[in-house]
Amino acid sequence: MIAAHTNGVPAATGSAPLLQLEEVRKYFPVRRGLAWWRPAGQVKAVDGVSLTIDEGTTIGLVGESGCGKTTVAKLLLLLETPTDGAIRFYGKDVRQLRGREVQTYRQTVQAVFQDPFSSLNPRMRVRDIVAEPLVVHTKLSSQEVRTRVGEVLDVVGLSSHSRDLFPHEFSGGQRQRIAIARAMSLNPKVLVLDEPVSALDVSIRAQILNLLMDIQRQYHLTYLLIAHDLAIVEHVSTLCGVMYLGTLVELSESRELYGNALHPYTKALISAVPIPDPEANVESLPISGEIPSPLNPPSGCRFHTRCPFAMPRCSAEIPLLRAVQPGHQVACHLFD
Amino acid sequence: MTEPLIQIRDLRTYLYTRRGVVKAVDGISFDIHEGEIVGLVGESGSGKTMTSLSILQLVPQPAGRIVGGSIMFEGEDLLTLPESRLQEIRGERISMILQDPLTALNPVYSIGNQVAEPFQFHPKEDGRGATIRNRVVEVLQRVGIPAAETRVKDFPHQFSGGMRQRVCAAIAIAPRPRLLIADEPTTALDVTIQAQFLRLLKQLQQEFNLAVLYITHDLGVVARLCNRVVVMYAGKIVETGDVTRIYKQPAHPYTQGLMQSVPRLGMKRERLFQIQGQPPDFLDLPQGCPFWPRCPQAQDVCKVEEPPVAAVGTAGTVRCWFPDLTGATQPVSSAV
Ligand SMILES: Nc1ncnc2c1ncn2[C@@H]1O[C@H](COP(=O)(O)OP(=O)(O)O)[C@@H](O)[C@H]1O
Ligand SMILES: Nc1ncnc2c1ncn2[C@@H]1O[C@H](COP(=O)(O)OP(=O)(O)O)[C@@H](O)[C@H]1O
Ligand code: SF4
Ligand SMILES: [Mg+2]
Ligand SMILES: [Mg+2]
Repeated sequence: MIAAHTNGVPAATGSAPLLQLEEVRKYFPVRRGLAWWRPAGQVKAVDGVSLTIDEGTTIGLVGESGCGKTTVAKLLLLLETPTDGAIRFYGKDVRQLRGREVQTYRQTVQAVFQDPFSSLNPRMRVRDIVAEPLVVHTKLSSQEVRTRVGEVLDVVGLSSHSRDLFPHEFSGGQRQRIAIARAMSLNPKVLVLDEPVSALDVSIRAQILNLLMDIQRQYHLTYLLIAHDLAIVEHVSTLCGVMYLGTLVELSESRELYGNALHPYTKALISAVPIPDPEANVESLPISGEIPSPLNPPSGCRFHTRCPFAMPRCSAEIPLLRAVQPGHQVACHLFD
Repeated sequence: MTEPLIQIRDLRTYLYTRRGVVKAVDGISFDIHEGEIVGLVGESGSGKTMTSLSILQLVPQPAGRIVGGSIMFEGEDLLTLPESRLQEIRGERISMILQDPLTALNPVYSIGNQVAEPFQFHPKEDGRGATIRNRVVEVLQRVGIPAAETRVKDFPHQFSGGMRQRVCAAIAIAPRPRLLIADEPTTALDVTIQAQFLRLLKQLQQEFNLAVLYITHDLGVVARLCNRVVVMYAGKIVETGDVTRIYKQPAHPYTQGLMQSVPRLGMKRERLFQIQGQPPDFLDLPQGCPFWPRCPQAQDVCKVEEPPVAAVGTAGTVRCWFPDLTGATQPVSSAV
């Protein structure tokens, strides 16, 4: 693939990482009933998440629904603004980006969402869907746009005759290829992948995951991969973060996380995932109870209401994410 | 071996749509024995739900029609019974849990009323003269609803997804059925809540010696729960067998592809094995074996003639011209 345009990414300056979340918080006001002007409380969707995303890596984020994964994605895509904390792009707070810089950021950080059915305009043909970002963000001639669209559709493996079709004429896997092509059209550096294969059949998931791994290698992309399927995240990611009720409870190299999970929630999550082997399929750490409401999260460690190892201290004091080994951080009083 | 509880033979359920005839269930045969959990797997649209709806004769009207076959259950062919007898069997002898408990539960009736329903329609003296209310509370406690005595007054929307699915399980087991059909009951649940539900289902199954037909596309869930597996592809059964054999020595190229394409925790590989091509289109099925366009083993004969069914392993079958029968010769220990 040739870069038909320059995307004006600032040169990596010194040691500043590509993307950095610093104690990022996002609270949503919740209004109830008729008194819409009076917030009834706040959903702490993301509550103090710090994460460094280095170039060329894949950071995986796992956790059950409502733990804040999509909100992290939206914050990175500038679709939401943090209530507190900062997101840094090569060291610069994204709130300080101005005009052209914002556009550059948006071109650099692209997204693929779970549901290819709703994220593609049903009334547009494939070639127009893929061309749209080029028309909006670049000054390419229509001939150049056509060339570029052809290139990215080749990259994702869609045949040329499919270009004039509409999204509904494709299966789920093919639609996700269209969404990837669209995200790739502006030659981004970062793809935020929010549950990219969750809606797909088993036989198609492997195709899309392989495609994502191939284009990452080929174009030196950086991924934030969000999924609730631990096996997928572990397979694809360099680093893996586990979220629970808006906080990051563990962060480590993916391999290490599976082989040596430390946080009781991570352990419970790993043992809850049914693995496709009838002889090795036991729940080593079954947990009971449900995920508490994010409107009124438990005090101290947010997992203490379900944790089999909870101590008195756990309900009183918030455990901080700290490194217990090089490259392995955990937020749990058992490891203080 | 004893008589199977249910014997399905050459079942054909067609859907007459505007675009043509969909042979959603196209000549399938399998048995379920007392106390056995059979997993029915296949990608979306392969005919799993139509199979289960055919057993209860609830195929969507007017499009759907059962056009052939027999379903022997406790000495009767369900396909020849009058509607009045079928109504007794549904709910009393065979019950069902669906994917989305919100559609299964009526939003305007309290949970208690809905759980009481099977007791009113199918009164069964338990000799203890327990009132219906007591029995409702008892069964809700049995499925793990906390504070069941007070929660009977609540409505479905006041329950979480996991708790609603427990209520559905309570309704399903209350009349002490012999066969429970569960159609993707955990697809909408989070993984730790799914694990709790699977634990509950297994306990109930053992306690009541229930036979279960468990429909899912999750090979991990099948490995955790099931004794035997039935694999569907494009309305046909391509393989059946003991769960251990199916996972260790799958005989059908499609089953083999499925088993190899799932990422597993702790098995980091560069690329995943991938099944080529797209899911089949019922209105445009190829001649011969429906899997041949995606099959790495396909030869000329596959493209013209329907493959024969061969025996494999312990009471297993495979529908393929070139099955891998290594599993046929080796003794495979049967679960249960
Ligand atoms: N726009 C919004 N307004 C109010 N609450 C929201 C909004 N977006 C997300 N939430 C809440 O924030 C929490 C985290 O949501 P989300 O980031 O979507 O989680 P996940 O992607 O991990 O399932 C949830 O409790 C969700 O209901
Ligand atoms: N009400 C309906 N009218 C027409 N076609 C239908 C209807 N319901 C299902 N089908 C078709 O029947 C086939 C089998 O569907 P189903 O049994 O629901 O598959 P599964 O449960 O394996 O996903 C699919 O191709 C589906 O499109
Ligand atoms: S019959 Fe032929 S095409 Fe079908 S699965 Fe077997 S080898 Fe493949
Ligand atoms: Mg989400
Ligand atoms: Mg179905």
